[in-house]
Amino acid sequence: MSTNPHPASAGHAAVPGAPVRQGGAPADSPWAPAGANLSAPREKGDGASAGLYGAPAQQSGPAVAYHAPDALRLFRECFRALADNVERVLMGKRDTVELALTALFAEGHLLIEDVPGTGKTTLARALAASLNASWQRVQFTPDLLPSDITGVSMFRQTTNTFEFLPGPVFANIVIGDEINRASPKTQSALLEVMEEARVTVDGSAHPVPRPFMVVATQNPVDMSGTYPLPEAQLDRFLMRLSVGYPDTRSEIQVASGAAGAASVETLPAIATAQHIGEFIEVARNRVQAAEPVVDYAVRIAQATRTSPHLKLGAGPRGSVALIRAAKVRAASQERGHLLPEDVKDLAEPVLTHRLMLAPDAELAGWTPESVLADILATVPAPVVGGLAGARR
Amino acid sequence: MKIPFATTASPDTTPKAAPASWEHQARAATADTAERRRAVVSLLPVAALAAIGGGAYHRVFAVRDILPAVAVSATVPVLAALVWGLLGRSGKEPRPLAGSLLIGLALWLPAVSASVYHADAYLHVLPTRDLLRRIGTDLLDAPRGLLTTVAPAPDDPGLLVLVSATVWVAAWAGAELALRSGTTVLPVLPGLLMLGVPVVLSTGAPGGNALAVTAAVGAAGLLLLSRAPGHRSPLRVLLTGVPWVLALTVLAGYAGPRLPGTDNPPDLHDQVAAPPPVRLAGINPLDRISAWLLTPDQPLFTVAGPADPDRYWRLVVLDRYDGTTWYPVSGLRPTGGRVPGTAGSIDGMTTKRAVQQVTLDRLDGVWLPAADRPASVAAADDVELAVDPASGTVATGSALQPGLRYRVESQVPVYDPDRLKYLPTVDDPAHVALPELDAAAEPIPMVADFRTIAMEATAGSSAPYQQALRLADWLRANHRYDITAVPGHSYRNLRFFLESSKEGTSEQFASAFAVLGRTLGLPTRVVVGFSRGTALPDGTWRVDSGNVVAWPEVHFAGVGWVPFYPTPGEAGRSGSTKTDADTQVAAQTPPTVTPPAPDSPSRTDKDRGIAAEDRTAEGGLPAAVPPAADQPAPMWWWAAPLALLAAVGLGHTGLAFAAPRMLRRRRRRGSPEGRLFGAWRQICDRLVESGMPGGGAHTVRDTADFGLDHLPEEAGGRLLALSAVVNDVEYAGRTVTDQDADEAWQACAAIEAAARLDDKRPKRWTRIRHALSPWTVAATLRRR
Repeated sequence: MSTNPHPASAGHAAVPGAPVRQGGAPADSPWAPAGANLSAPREKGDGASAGLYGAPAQQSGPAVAYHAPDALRLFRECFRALADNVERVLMGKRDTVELALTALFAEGHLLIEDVPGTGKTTLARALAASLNASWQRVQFTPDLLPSDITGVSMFRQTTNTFEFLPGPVFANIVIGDEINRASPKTQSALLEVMEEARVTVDGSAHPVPRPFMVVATQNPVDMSGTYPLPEAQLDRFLMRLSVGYPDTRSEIQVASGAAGAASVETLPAIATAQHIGEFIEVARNRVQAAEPVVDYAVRIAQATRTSPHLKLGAGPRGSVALIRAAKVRAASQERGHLLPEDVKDLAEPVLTHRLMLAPDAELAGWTPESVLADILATVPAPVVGGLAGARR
Repeated sequence: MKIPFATTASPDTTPKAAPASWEHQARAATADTAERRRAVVSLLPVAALAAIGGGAYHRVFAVRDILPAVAVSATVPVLAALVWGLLGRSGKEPRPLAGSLLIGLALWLPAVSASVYHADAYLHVLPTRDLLRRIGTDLLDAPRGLLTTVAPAPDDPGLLVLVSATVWVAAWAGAELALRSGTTVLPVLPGLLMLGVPVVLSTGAPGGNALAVTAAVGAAGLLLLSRAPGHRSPLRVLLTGVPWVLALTVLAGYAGPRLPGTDNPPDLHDQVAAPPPVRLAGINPLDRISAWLLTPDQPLFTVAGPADPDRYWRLVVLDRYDGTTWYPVSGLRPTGGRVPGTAGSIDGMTTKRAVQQVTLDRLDGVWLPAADRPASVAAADDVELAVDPASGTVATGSALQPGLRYRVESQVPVYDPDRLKYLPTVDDPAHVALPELDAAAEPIPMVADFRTIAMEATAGSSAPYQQALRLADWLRANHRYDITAVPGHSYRNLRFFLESSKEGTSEQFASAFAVLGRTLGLPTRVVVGFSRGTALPDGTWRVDSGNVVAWPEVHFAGVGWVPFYPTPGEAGRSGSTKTDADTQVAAQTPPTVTPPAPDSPSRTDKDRGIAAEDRTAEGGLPAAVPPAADQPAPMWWWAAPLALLAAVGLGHTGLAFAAPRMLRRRRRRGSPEGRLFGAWRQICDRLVESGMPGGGAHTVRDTADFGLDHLPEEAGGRLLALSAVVNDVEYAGRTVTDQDADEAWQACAAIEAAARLDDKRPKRWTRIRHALSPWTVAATLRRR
């Protein structure tokens, strides 16, 4: 049992039920608009803005209606602010940071896979620290039990009833460190919550807060005593990232403890859970996916199923995830429409962990990444002029 | 990895593998409309092909005779099929074919009545009951009738009905196939198959099929183009394919007549429909010579036109001898006036054209006099003409009537004794045969006697021509001309003539020559005709019965039948009443219309020399001069494949260099949006040439990235800016202005210029080889 043994070490609530750090967006936040015209109407006499999804806002601050004219601009500014913030501790990894944020705004889960010491956990923690939202860190070990994650029902003699004690999974950001070290049974405890955002204990469903994101890390090298994630579990991660070693300049800066380098503990919170939730709706509803682009994404997913190098290709969940992620990418560039480039660029992080190589291809030196690159080089992109011609 | 010069389409022009449902439906609807439009447009070349097939009958009929039938039959069924097939469409299912068949038949009857049988049709259009029966009968008899007719055939509705029927069937079948079948080739077949009918029927007729075949190839090419699969409009396909069609048409026009076998096509006239030779009944003109000579002043006919002193009018050819009489055996065929097989068709034979107008007076029988050898005869429409292609004699279908006028055009052969001198005779048993057994199967002794006489008369001859000359000389020298001599030309008559009386008319002289010649193995025949006649004040020539004359002919290889004149010129002194120069028919004067040159000897002079030549002095028979006709014709056929290759190569090269320019022009036309995307596609094509991977997997941004990596900074920047505009227009619905389109093409020009300077561009020869690749040309034509 090693669930967040030092909850106070990170300066955040680390035990189930502990209050989360709250607060409005920083005053100097570049994306926080001063005007209220872009915000949803505030409730009279209440300093907090009303949530768009029925849940009360957890703090005051601008609430962005996804149909507001400047919603995409605000999205882009928020996205950049968060990326800048995380990059302060994960220097030189802008692309990785933006992909992680893409997963966050796509309401997906993130699997960070890399060798030790490259900043996997740092990325996860920096991501959590940049948000004024609840987060929990769970260190996965072989003796971890499912109930250690989901929570348990305890009998209270005073009320003569069973009371549910939520586990660490009840947070906006759940960091699962070295997830492949837990037993398959424990790993499976995350299946329901990752897909349906709720936990069912003793027949009762307990929803997790929104936004909800699982950021899991695993070490692909040291495989002894680990349990590889099952395909069903892998499929539930929106994307898999590899942080990689920093470049020389960044590594020198980190090693020297330069003044510019910040620590996770000192990172300011940039956005609240409410903002994230509303920006998720902005990306989902304001970005239009043209038929040919969706068709392109589906054809890429289908091509992985028919590739002779793959034993298992990406399922429909893969093409859905690809479009969701592509929408976030488009919104982060203040675009209200998808481009085939969005799909193509995100295909690798979104799809490769869903692919299983055929034995022959594995022996021949193929990797999921190389197979996908081969597929991307052969699947025709949408014809230029076809959509415009159809509109005419 | 770069794939230089990938042969697939440019990145943004490949159709998507899995079209979305709405797009699929839209494309299906568009494809259906385009399919129908192509089908309708292809009806034009279908009608043209059928009309060209009808026009190929121009060798069988006079053009003016077939025009109405062809025009009506090529258009009406196409229009009927169009109306029935498209306007009569019930939902998505076409109307039944049987209905179209019935409508076609119902329309053809009034059409053929109006265009062919208009004289017998009710109101010149509607067929009566009798006419319907006649049309059916004529349709069944027409093929055989045409095969037994010497082309050009007369404008007999019974024959013209075949033109109407075949053209109608070709047009109807082609139109139905075009409207009902989605295939490209099938609608061409009826027209091409139908073209074979007039080509076969016109074998041996004057003129050629090159024009019709060339036009048919052109029409077939246009028909194929109009039905070529694709998403572009038929008009555009026609424009792009016209160079190919032109090249093929020129090739067909050039190489078609030179293909092996075209110079000697199979002739169904001889193999299928040749009537058996029959012995013609009636009064033999040879038997009438004595009677005519005894009543020499009967005017038989007059001739208007140039006539030479030594011109003989030929009446009939007698080529069979039964020991009693000479009689004609011929296969007379109806004709519209042409006489096939003129001497002018023999290589090396000099002929001269002569045209006369003949008016009959008291000449009876069925034979029409004409100068040897007639090429065409033109008479009034009600005169049924027939010719014997073998002998060239002309006859009518009924007895001759006084006042009958006709025009004869002849090709008069000019014989050269120097050429004839050593020519062999034709191996022709039918014209060498003599009856050698009598009714009791006993040998006829006279034949042996004749052979002895002939051998003595021609002793020392070195060649058949010399034999014939000496035989004629012997007859002339040892016999006299006497119109009161005993008539007849049986064996007995001839023995009496040769051994006893030694007097006779041209009947006996010609018959004796022919029989004696046959005993020597010379193929001979007897011709009955007339000398020039008496000149009248109006410039015409009157031919009387006293001008009758007979002469023999010998068949030489490569030259044909050569006349000889064994009748002596001193006939008048033996009691003949013919005293004018024209009646001195026995003189050995060859019927040449070409006056000999002053310094060159005439045929008579040459013949005298040849006849007098000593065989022993010659030292034996020299090698026969091969006739010109036996010389192998120039082998032109090998040029056909070369011409084909050259034409295809030229057409392909022209297309290979024209296609990119046509594509560029196409892309620069249309709406501003279309022009913008056209500029982008043009850039993509250029970058693929510069090494950008093809295959269509490149997105707009990928293309821009490639340009940034491979082009100079300015061009790369323009490409990047243009890529943003393209994506905005395509996915964000941005409106394109003319200025945007113009700027796009300016950027395209700059990028193309920069790409041309790229060092990594393939070498010039590699680019040319790539441009000439058929796959590249095909891909370019398919591109948008």
